[in-house]
Amino acid sequence: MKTRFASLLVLGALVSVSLSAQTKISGTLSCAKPDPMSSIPVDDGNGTVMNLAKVSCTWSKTFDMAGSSTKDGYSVAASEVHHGKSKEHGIHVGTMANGDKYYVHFQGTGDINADHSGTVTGTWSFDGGTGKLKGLTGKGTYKTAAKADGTSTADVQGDFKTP
Amino acid sequence: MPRKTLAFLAAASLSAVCAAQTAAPSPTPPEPASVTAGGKVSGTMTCSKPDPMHRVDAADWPGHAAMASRTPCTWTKAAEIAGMTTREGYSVGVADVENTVTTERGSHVTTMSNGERIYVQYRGKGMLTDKGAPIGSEGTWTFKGGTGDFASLQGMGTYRARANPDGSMSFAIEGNWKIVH
Repeated sequence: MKTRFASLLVLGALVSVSLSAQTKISGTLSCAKPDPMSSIPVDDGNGTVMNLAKVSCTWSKTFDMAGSSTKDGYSVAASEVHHGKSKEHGIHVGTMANGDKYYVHFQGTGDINADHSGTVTGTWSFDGGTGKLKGLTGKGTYKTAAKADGTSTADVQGDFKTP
Repeated sequence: MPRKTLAFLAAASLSAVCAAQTAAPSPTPPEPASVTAGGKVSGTMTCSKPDPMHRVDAADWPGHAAMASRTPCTWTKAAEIAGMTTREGYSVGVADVENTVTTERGSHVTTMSNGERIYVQYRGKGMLTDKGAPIGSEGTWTFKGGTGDFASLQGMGTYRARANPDGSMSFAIEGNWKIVH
C-alpha cells in the first residue's frame, strides 16, 4: 500500500514537472492576400468551392520560444466552402528572428460572407522545427478574421515545449 | 461444430431477440420515415488526368505539398440507383501529399441516365510512385442528395482505385442507397 502511494506521489511529481515545462504563448499573425490562390467550383447546386492557397504572414504581436522571437512565415492551406461555411486544414512554416524554423499543422471551421470576409476558428499543433526548435511540441487555438480584400489576421494562443 | 451452423444459430438468436423487441408494446411508437426505395450500389468509374491541377509545395520538408484538382470521369460499369444508371461525372478534391502518400477528400457529381445529378462526398488515402504518379487509393463516400428524384438520396460506401497504364484511374464503387420522403 505504502509502495503504491509512493509511486503515485512520484508520478504526480513527474506530471507536475512535465506541465511546468510547458510555456504559454500568445501572438497575432498578419497575413497578406493569398498568392497563389486556386479555386475550383464543384457546381453541385450548393455553391461548394474547393480552394488551395499559400499565404505569407508576419507576426505583428510576436512571442518568444527558445530565446528568440517569431518573425514571419507562410501557410499552405486547402479549404472547402459550402453554403458559406468553411472547413480548412493546412500547414504553417514559421521563421524565428534567429533563423530557426518551426512547423505547424492546423484545422478549423468558420463562416465566409459573400464579399469573402469572414472568421475561422480552429486548433493547431507544433510538428517540430530546426535549430533550437528541433523536437518542438505544443498545441493551441487560433481565430482568423479575413477581410474582403483578402488580407487577414490570426490571434494565436497555446503552449509549447522544447526537449 | 461447423462454423456455418454456429453462424446460423447466432443469426437465429438475434432474430428471436429482434422479434421479441418488435412484439413488445410501445406507448408512443415513433413515426417511421417513409423509405420509398433503397438497395445496394456497385459500379466502376474511370477517371482521366485531372484538369485543372493546382499544386503548392509546403517546403517544410521535401515531398510535402497540397493539391486541388478537377477530374472528369465516366462509368465503365454503370451503377443503378432507383431505376436509373450512372453515366458520367467529375470529382473536385484537395489532397495533402507527403512523399508517396496522399490524404484526399472532395466532392463528386455524377449525371444519371435521365439527366438528373447525384452528389457525393468522399475521403481516403492514396499511394504514389517515387515520381509522383498515382498507384491507387481507397476510401469512403457518402451520398449528399441530388437533383429531381435524387434530392433526398442518402447512403454510403467504399471505393478502391487502381492506376491504369494510360494514366487514368479506375474506381470500384460499393455501397448502398436509399431515397427517403
